[in-house]
Amino acid sequence: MIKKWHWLLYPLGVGVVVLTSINILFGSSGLWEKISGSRERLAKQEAQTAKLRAKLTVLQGANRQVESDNLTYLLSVLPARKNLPTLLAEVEQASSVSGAIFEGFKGRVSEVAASESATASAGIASDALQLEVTLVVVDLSQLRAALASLENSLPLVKINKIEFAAGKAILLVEGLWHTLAKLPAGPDYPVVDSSASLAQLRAALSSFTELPKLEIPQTGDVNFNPFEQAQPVIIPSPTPELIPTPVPSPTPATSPEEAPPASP
Amino acid sequence: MINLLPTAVAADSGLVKIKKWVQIGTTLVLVGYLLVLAALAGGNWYLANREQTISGEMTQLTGQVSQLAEMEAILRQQQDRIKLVNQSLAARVKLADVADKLTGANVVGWESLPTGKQVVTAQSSDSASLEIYADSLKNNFGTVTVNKLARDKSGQWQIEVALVGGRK
Repeated sequence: MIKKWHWLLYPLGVGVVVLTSINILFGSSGLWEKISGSRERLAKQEAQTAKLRAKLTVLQGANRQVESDNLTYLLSVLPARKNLPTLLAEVEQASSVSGAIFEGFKGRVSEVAASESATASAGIASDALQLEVTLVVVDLSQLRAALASLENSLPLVKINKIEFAAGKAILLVEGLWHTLAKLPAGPDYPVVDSSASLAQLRAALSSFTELPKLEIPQTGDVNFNPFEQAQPVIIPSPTPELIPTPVPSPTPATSPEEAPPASP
Repeated sequence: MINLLPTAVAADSGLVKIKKWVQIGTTLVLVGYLLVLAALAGGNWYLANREQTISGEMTQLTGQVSQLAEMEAILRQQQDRIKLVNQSLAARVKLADVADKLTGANVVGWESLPTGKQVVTAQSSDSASLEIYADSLKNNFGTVTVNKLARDKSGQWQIEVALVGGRK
């Protein structure tokens, strides 16, 4: 009688084997789980490898000298630190080109709390290199010429405010600058070939005038750049009134006040 | 006497059929199971190998990229600076161009505020020309508001116009 049911041993044995080993395949640490994990990791690694390969292609194709020169050029357009002498030279050049007289300037390193809201509302960063420049101009066309020269000079300059009246123009001139960013490294940060965008930028800035670089020595006891100081400093004096700082203009003034006296 | 032979034969033949189908089914399940097992084991082996290969390649590429770290820094600073320069240029309103739009009268005063508002004062011996001038400014500015039109002691007319917005 028992012999008659021996054939059942085969399906029962298979059933037992399948049921006991199914955990190896589909359990929490089974093969299926391992495969899913491996596939995810692999996809990530493949994506990272593709990024690294693309990055390496760009890096290997770049010329160190050319790229350094490009970065130097970009830093001359938008410097990495405040450079007061260059900004003053730009203002001087603008006044000389237009025939206006650069009468004086004043500025301060960092705005006090009370005026921070004012600068913020005006979209001006509190650490901006900003000067209040006074120009003596004959008319609007002369002021326009001075503005055109300033706005077309490098490093980039932004004029935040103008008050023109009675032959005088007070300009709030901001020398644009931005610190070099601390850029994190890693395969997730791509390096793209920016030669096309750089060429476009160079074309856009081709009509701009670049001044010779005025580097400020940072050694010694005297800080030639008061804007680098931590304490707020008013240039040239802490008095609130504008103290004229005579800056001789190479071009003679054309205003009636400056015109030479008529001979009898 | 009852003849039971046909019934026994019939029962045996039914059991044989069941036995045959159970065995076929069991074999199919076993083969299928073994195939799945083999596929999963093979897949796991392949993925582990591929992972190792990719990992090795990644290490190699990372090493090569690290050797060019200086170049990477230069290029990424360039990217960053191009973006900043473009942003600065886009955010800048060229006031020389604004001054161009103010021509057409004897402009004796001009206040350009950081908000983009312009207040211009022009002078003339007659008020009509100043009104024409104010009207002409509408071609270049979105909103033109005449704040003041007055005559001073010397007989000169002065107009003060507030201008907001760009070209229509």
